[in-house]
Amino acid sequence: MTLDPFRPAMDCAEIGRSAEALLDGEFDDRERAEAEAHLSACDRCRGAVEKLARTRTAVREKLRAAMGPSSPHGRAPAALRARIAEALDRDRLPWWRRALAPLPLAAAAACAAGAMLVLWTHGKADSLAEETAAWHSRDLPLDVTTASLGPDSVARWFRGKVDFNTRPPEFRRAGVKLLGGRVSSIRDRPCAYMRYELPPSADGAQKPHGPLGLFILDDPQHRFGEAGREVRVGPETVRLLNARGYNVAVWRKNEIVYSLVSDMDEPSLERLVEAALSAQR
Amino acid sequence: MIDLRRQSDRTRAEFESLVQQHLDTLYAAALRLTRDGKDAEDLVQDAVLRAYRFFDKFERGTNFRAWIFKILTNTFINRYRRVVKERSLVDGPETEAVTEQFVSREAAEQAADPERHFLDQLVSDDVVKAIDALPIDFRMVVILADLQEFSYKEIADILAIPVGTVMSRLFRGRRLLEKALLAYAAESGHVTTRADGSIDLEAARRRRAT
Ligand SMILES: [Zn+2]
Repeated sequence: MTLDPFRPAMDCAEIGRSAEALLDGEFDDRERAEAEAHLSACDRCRGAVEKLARTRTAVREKLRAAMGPSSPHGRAPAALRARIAEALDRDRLPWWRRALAPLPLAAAAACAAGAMLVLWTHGKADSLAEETAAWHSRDLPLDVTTASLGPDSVARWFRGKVDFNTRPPEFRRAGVKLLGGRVSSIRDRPCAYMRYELPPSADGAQKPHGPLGLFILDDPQHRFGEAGREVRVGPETVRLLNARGYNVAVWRKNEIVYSLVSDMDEPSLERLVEAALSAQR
Repeated sequence: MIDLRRQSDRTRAEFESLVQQHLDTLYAAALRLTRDGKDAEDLVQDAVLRAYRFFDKFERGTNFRAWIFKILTNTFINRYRRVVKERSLVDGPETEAVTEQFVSREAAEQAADPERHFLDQLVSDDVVKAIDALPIDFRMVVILADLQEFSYKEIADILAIPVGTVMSRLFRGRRLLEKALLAYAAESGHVTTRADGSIDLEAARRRRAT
């Protein structure tokens, strides 16, 4: 607000319009001085502002009591703290690869956090590879673990949660260990998500790999047609794609679609899928 | 040129100590946005991981709390919010200027009794229910302003909306919240409403006295 000696002092209407901003501490010194001058001279406005202030204070106190740091609604559960620390530990794939892969460099360099998020979701309709890679990268906790259920019960656990039978490929011979499962959602439909751990040196890489994510979903309407490099594995056609810094293998068995997301390089992923699918036959 | 190194241990330690300071408030906000414990935990984890991956974009020395809240609300809006369903509830005469006078009549009448504010007797469950019943756009600004105590400018930045929109949403959100709180107070007998829907404080006092 400019200093203008001829500017009329704040009137009742202006106080009425801006009382909340005044109480929220949004006025600068000069505005506050003007408002205070009016309030000391005008009983009606002073009474109204005082009432407003009392209500505002009472509401804020209630909010603090109900959801502030001293209430259960206002404290992050210990399990959440732990899983965030774990997720940061596991965030091994160079962060810039995942973050920047789907975007042209100019856009990536220009974007602040907000712009990036918008581009991610509104840039284009995501393919299955994109969607599953994005979901996998969230590294959400599992609903059930092999440790608690046993390796053979995880697939069965999905019964009733997704309306198809989940038959994961046989990874065990390749030394790949099932960690557990979670119900995921791809294009607003529930699907089965299983997380696997790779053996320490699956492709001789120096750095240990992050977990594999396997998505199993039913797609009777063939909504997911994938591009990508085509590889024949026995009777199956597997497509290999890159999405968000991950390599993704997608294949179909009748109405069931599989999407396997990994930070391994493409040849290693191809070999793994080949081993798993041939072990199944 | 993009730095291709991974986040160093020092960056990780710096990030974690900043996040630890704000995790409670992030969770409290996430819980009110999603209204579900499991979704709230997922939302916080998503936002924190995202912030970690973009931590190099954060300007040291600026407001980390506002920055990570922006990521939290963005993540919420993009991922959790049912855009169409919730949007229709809100976008009404929001663009009109804030010209309504002061506070709703009911709340003003109630506030006239300085000893016993009509809110004093409300239990926290009712306060949570009243907040959760607000349409999402109002809920967001009320939480950011009255629980997290961000300034109008910070809220405008977090939600990427003009300050004027923050003010009008906050004004309407607060009035709706007061109304809801008053309804809970009436339900639990601390205040009584007249046939026309206004508040009969005297009747409630008489009843309390007997
Ligand atoms: Zn006046």
